[in-house]
Amino acid sequence: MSGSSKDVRLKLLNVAEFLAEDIPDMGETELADALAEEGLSESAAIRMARAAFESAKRELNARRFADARRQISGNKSIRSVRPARIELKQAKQVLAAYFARNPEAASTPTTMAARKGGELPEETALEIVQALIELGEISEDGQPR
Amino acid sequence: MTDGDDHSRHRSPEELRSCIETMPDQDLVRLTAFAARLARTADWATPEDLLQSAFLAAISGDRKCPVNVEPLKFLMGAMRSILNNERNKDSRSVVTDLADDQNEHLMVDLVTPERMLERLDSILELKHALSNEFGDDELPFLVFEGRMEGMSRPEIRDMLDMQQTEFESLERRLRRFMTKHFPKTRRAG
Repeated sequence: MSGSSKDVRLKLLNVAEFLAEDIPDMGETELADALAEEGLSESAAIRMARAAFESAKRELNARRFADARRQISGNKSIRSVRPARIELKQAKQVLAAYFARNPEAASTPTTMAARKGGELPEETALEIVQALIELGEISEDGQPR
Repeated sequence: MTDGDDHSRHRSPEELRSCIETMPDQDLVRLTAFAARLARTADWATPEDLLQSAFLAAISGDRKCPVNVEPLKFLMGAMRSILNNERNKDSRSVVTDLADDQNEHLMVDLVTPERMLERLDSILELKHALSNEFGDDELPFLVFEGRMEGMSRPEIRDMLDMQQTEFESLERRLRRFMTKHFPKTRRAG
């Protein structure tokens, strides 16, 4: 018999599918016999499945954690490459213009002063502008996106 | 297809997670038996690997389960597909620099000669055992060859001009023999 390793592996896979295809329709006694042939008791089979499920849940959590971590480090790098190109004294005007264009943003927990751009300290206004840039709401020079 | 359509046609990962968590013991037994049978010929995956990968695919949303498919059947299909995908990891495409302006893509086989021989041995042992068991009766041998080459059941049945019941009975006989005599996979390390 000849063939590449891929061919041989495919043949083995086809054999595996042939061997497994009657499992879904087996009666309970037949199923217990099939399991015994694999050297497993019913309780061992249940334990194996439950352990595999716990392991899958752990892996999913780890995967989500890694994604969140990547996202956070990604956000940090965006912050560092996108500084506001706005003077301190312009910040309040940019902010007032933003809230005028987006009255629905009034429902967000910003102060009334921030929404009107009135008595807000210029430094705080610039911080809010920077946050809006990072959120992608406005461009680095304060223009609508 | 819109998201809405997609959601209405597939079970959500959360729903699948809940289905698995509350799956009756008898279904877990069936699932494990299926994984064990599939992994019999595979030195690249254990039953535990297959179960874990199928569960992960379901609860992460990597594989979608249509609402009209039972979760048990879906998980079995996922295991079959995972086993098939894993198979492809036996080889890897690499780019080699032949000259400054010329690259060549080569498929590099990652299977050791020893592993390859073991696999060939498994098939040869089974053929030998079949030949001893069924003697001059060619039909079981031909059905086995057909399935191993990836032919469908109807294709083989038509080719051998067999009735449905006769064919199914022969398949059962063949499967019973193979599960008893097929050498359990020799997994390295």
